[in-house]
Amino acid sequence: MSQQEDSLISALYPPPPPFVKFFTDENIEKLENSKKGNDTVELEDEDKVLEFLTPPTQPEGDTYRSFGNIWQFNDKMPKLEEMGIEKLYKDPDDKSSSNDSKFKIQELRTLLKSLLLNFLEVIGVMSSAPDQFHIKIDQIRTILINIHHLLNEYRPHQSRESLILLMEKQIDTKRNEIEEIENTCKNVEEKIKHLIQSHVDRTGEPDQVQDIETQTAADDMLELKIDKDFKNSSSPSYTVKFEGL
Amino acid sequence: MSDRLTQLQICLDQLLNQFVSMLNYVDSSHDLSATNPTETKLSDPMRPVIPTSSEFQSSIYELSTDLILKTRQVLTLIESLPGAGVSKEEQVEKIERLQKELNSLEEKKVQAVRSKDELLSFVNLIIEEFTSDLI
Repeated sequence: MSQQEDSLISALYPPPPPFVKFFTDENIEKLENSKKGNDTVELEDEDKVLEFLTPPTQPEGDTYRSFGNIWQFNDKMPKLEEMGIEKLYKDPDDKSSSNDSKFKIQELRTLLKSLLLNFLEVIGVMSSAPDQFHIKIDQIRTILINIHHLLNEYRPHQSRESLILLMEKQIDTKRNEIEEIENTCKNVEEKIKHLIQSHVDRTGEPDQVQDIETQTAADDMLELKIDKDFKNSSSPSYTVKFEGL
Repeated sequence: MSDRLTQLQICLDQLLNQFVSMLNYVDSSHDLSATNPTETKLSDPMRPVIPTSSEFQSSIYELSTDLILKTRQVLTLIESLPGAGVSKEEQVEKIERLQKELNSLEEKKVQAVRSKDELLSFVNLIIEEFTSDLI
């Protein structure tokens, strides 16, 4: 049983192709050199190794076959006409204008209503001439394909819109983070200032050397605080000034 | 939650399922009628029990209401598709602007974190100084 599981797991991820081990830094550098200067000094064997590093050329034609499906090199939406389906909606008159999405929404609404109407007609046809139903069914199919095609055409527009939303959200979060950091810093600074002030008030007799030192240190610090307030003062200046305390 | 377009497509599928189930219901529960008055009304031996006329009518009414509700839902979704009336160029412009703003905010944040770190080390120093006095 456990052996079977092992084999399952090993089948899940096929091993990398054997030529991966040729992708060494050395070989890549060599390849770049040979590309630049067309070095012919290299030995035959080494050239053969380098062949693995050059990607194969693209097959000819617009499509390729992979896993039993035919794929296009350039991702694009096939046109309805290319798929052999009647196009029921019009293209907007001016393509690049901002009306494009509005226009699509309008067309979607129209298509949905004709879908409903066609369903009603199917029921009517079924009751009076059941053998004629396939015409209506075909029409419904065409409408549906049109609707889905329109929706898919709308996708890039929506993804851009979602990206905008996402970025706006990120900006908001960042703003909040910055604000919170600054607030916390301000609070701490206020507290320190307060502590120093109260310390100075308590021992603030001018005729004691210790206190004068404290006083100046406190003054320094207060100054420092005012100086600092989120400007670029480096930490060493703190240490120097603090030694006075 | 999926995006609106996917929701819309799911709703359309549901609408179609309703179409099918409605047709199926009508097909399986309708009453039979004679082609002319002299003929006796036949009954389908496969379906000995069919709903009464009023039952049938009320079910049809219910199904139609569901259908209308679903259609309204689809219409609402269509209305609320994002970015109506915004052109691609405007979107791209906005994205670029947001990108710049995001970058400058990131810089600001790094700055804030740096000054926070400075403050932290300063507070650390105070605490160390204070405790060393106590000892």
